[in-house]
Amino acid sequence: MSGVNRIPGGLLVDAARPVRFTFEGRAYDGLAGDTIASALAANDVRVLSRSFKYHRPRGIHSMAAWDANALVQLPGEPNVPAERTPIVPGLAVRGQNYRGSLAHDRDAWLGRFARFMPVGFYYRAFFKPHGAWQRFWEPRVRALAGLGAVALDAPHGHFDKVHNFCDVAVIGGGRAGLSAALAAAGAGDQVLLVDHNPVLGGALNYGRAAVERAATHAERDRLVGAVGGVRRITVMTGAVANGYFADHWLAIIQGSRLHRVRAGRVVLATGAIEQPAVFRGNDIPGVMLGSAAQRLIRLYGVRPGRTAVVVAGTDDGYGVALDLLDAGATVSAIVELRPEPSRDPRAVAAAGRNIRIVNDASIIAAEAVDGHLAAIAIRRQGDNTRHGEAIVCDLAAVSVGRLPAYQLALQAGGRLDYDDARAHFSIAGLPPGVTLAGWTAGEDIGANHPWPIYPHPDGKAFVDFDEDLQIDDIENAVAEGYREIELVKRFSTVGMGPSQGRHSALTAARLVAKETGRRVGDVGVTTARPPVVGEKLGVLAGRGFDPERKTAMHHRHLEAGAQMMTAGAWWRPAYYGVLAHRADAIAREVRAVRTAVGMIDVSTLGGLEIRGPDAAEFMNRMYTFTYTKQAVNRLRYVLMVNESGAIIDDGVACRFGDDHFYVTTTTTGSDRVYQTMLWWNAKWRLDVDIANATAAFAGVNIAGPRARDVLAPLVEGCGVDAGAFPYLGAFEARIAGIPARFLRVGFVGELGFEVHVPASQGEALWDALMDTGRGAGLVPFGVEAQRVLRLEKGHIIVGQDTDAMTTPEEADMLWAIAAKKPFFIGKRALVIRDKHLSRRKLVGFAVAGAPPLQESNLVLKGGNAVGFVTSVAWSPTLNRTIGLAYAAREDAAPDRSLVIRLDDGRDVRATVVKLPFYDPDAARQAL
Amino acid sequence: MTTIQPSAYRIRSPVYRRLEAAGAVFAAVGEAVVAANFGDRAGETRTARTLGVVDLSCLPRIGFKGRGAVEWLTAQHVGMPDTPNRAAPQADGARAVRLSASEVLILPDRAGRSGLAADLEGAWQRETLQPRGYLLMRADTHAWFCVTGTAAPAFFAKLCAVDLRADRFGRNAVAQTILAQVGAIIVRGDVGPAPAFDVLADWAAADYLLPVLIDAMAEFGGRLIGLDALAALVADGGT
Repeated sequence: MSGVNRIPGGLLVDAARPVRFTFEGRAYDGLAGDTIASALAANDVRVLSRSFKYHRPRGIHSMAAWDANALVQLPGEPNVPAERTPIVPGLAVRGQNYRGSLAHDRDAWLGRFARFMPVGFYYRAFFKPHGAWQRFWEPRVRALAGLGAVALDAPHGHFDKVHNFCDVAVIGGGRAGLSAALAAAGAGDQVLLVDHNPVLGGALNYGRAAVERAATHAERDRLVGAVGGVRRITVMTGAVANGYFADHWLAIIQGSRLHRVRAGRVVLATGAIEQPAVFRGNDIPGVMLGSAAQRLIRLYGVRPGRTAVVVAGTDDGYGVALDLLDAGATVSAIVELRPEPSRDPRAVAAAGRNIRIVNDASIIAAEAVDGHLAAIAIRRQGDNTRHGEAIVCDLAAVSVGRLPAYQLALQAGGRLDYDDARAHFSIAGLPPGVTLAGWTAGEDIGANHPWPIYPHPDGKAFVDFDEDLQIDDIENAVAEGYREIELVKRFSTVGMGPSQGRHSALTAARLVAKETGRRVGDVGVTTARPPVVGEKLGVLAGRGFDPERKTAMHHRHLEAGAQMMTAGAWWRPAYYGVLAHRADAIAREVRAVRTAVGMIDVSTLGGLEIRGPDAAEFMNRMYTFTYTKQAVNRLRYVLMVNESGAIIDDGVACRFGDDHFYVTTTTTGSDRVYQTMLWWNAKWRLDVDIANATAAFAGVNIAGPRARDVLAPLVEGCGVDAGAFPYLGAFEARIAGIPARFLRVGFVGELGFEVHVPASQGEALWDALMDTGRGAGLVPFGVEAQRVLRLEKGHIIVGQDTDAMTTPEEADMLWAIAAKKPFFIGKRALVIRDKHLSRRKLVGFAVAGAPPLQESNLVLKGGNAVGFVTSVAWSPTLNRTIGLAYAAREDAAPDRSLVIRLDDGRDVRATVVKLPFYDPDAARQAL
Repeated sequence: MTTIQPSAYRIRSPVYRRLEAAGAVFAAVGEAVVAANFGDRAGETRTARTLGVVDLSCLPRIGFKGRGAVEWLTAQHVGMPDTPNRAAPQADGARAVRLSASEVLILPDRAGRSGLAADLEGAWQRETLQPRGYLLMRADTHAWFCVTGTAAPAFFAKLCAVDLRADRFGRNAVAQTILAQVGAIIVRGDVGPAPAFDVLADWAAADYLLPVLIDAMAEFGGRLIGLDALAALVADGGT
């Protein structure tokens, strides 16, 4: 027997399969199909958690995971909804938010100090004396805060995302949703039917709309059976539609998977949310919604209590009473809150079964013994005694009305209108393609009790269980001057807990309406935003996609022992060697290039094909230099500035034909330059085609005095000596049988050839060159060595030595401006800016010794920051520390002294050096 | 019989090491090297009907773009789709994939027998008439993976937001979209009885993309297959 409260029946449970689990360290038996909450209820365990602020014992309230009362802790996971989570053998469940034990929470004293914690008290408390918050209060509040505990060593879960498409998405698988799905499928639509519960049927599975159940069961079986037979309907149970987004895009979560659903149209048949009555002690375990009692009985085969009182503000309370009787409970009384006796057939049947019905009554309070319900005190019409009549009970089932489940509808743009006569909200104003059905549309929903709110002089009549907010708190918020519901929410936090207003929004609207003398409809509810229910961060993270780009030679770098670094999405070799000897490795690579020959993978640099009759004109407009007279088979530097005159990219342009330029860009700039070119030419409409060939070409730079020794044996169709291939030449030929483009460049200041080949042949190129180059001492070198080499030549790196403001003049690059051109992007800005020069210049500097200088260290003058270091490195070639920095314009002359502030606060003196530091005649690269 | 090793060839797939590690048996197809099978021809053919992926990155292909490109190709008797985002099969099994009003990608048949790409490139180089568009090195800008099988649309739904269901994305349809966060061209063209989707994506991101595809396939029992499996399907289906 799996629990003292177990009764036969229970749609979701299997009496033949017991499941053992523990709660708070004690073992219990449930059944397969039980949730944690239903299994505990079967075993008469009433207290599941402690409330957020006052640490009051809490238990089942909705049996639908609508609130925080039934959040429990699992070993790897906090805040688990006990009312939805199935038990599995060995599951170890604990309560939350207590110190000591759930039964004897040492923090329960907080509840007795409730009157010192009125609404919004924390806006005023904790801050005096000065420092009190940081030193005294914050650690204590932090220790008390939150509900569950995160396990930092929890095992990783597997989460995923998938796209999904349908003509009609029907959210909700109750009577209305099943009917809507069948209608749409009958009209030829592909339908996705989504329900949060393990089975379809919705309230047909547990409600009691009529005295006899047979008709309800038959209708459910007919509809569910019909849906199962239609191929065009895809059913997702155990799935929640957690957000509606533009154009009928829905986030639907099923297990660990997020479904991103694009629907042609959406039907919301999400049902309605039963509402609590507000009276002193309405949060005591044992007080629950009438539908919660029915779910326990019908879905899980659990009798919710032995001796029950039903609070009936609507006719549905009588159906609850009949269900309780059928489940073997004693129903001591039905407390009818309305003035007139009900004539509903269920009320007649209840009377016929000799249940005492107390008409025109109100609730005074619920009373607890040992943390759970022991009695309900009521007041009959005309009874003026202080204490009214106490009715002994261990269960109070409350049916006072419903609220349409409005969340998705409001996310879709709908609004709530209030019908004063029937005391309920209805939804209107939905966009085309979103329709409502069933209770959500207000069909057959009946009237609500207009005012099931019973204040008590001793308080503890809860409006919001999650936030421990009482009637007084809402009234006090209004008294503080917050008249609008959005402000009441923000000041009091009503509706901000896991329930998100499901059980508090209607009451809060009613109270604020009364306190401000307005209609409930004019007060309204706060905006509903996704998510509808809590969603795990894992589901949102899902499968992560982290694209990486690798050059054709990537694996050869790894095989050669490279330490790799990222440049945008690319991987590049930083240096070849172990981390512990990083500086040595870089110095060795620098020396190899200066004295023999080195090879670096430059595949990541952008490559753009500019082709067409207007190619040269296009180049003239995009870049600062001039290209119309550039000869074929020659290359020229390119410098791009933006419309404010700031440098944004550089590279070289190789002319392979009158109408053909092959232009390189920086690694991280290639996409931006390509897009900029497309954008400008969309306006200019020059006869030019712009193609991004960056990925198509793998490339190497072979640099050093012995570079020709490496290339000559392999190059076909072109000489590599100085006569055949002068400095700044560019040719198309072949190397080791591979079609290639050859560029003579000088970035690192040595005899250098870039070789660009189709990417699929890049690794073959690298292999051929390493093989042939061995005799000449060829070694691979990485990005770090290249940075040192180019720094020795005073060559800037765009984005490192330039910032968002740097003009060519600041960087001494006026030689790259063709001032006579009628137009280039940024020309106008440069003309203006050159009339009012900035206060800084980029200069080269050297420092004695090897102080720990870093990029971004400030350059000071007279105690003020006038610039900063952009590049700094130890130069193995020059045997000293060199760098580039922005300095005050008046200090931009050789031998001037600069003061640089180190990270540790010390100042060092640097000397301005005329650039380049190395080979000032530029003889070596022109060999 | 000597074993064919990709590293002995100049043209190498960006993922050849992964194919080697998976036990690929390679075959030469012209200048290209392709994984013919992974030691289980029959199993791979069965898998190809449900969900398989084959690397075709080394097969020759070429693109044409710009003013005059479409007109010149039409003058070369290339069957041209009327609208962008459609593919037109050619007589020798190749396909002309129209990516925009003025851009076309020429894909060979999946066995790599078509010489259309090389023929067109040669003709274009020899041509002196202007305008005739410009060449694009499509064998090096993009890697090529072919995904086959009835589970392919459900598999793609894990990686791509486009509706690729069989009845919504038919034969010769083309999508230019994002797949697992990289730009991709997806062309539907079936292999015998099995639906097949040609995926062309950034060559430099291929070594990232292939393991993502294989991981997403696992749920459906999908895996790497070789070219032999495709040939077997074609023989079955008669196309």
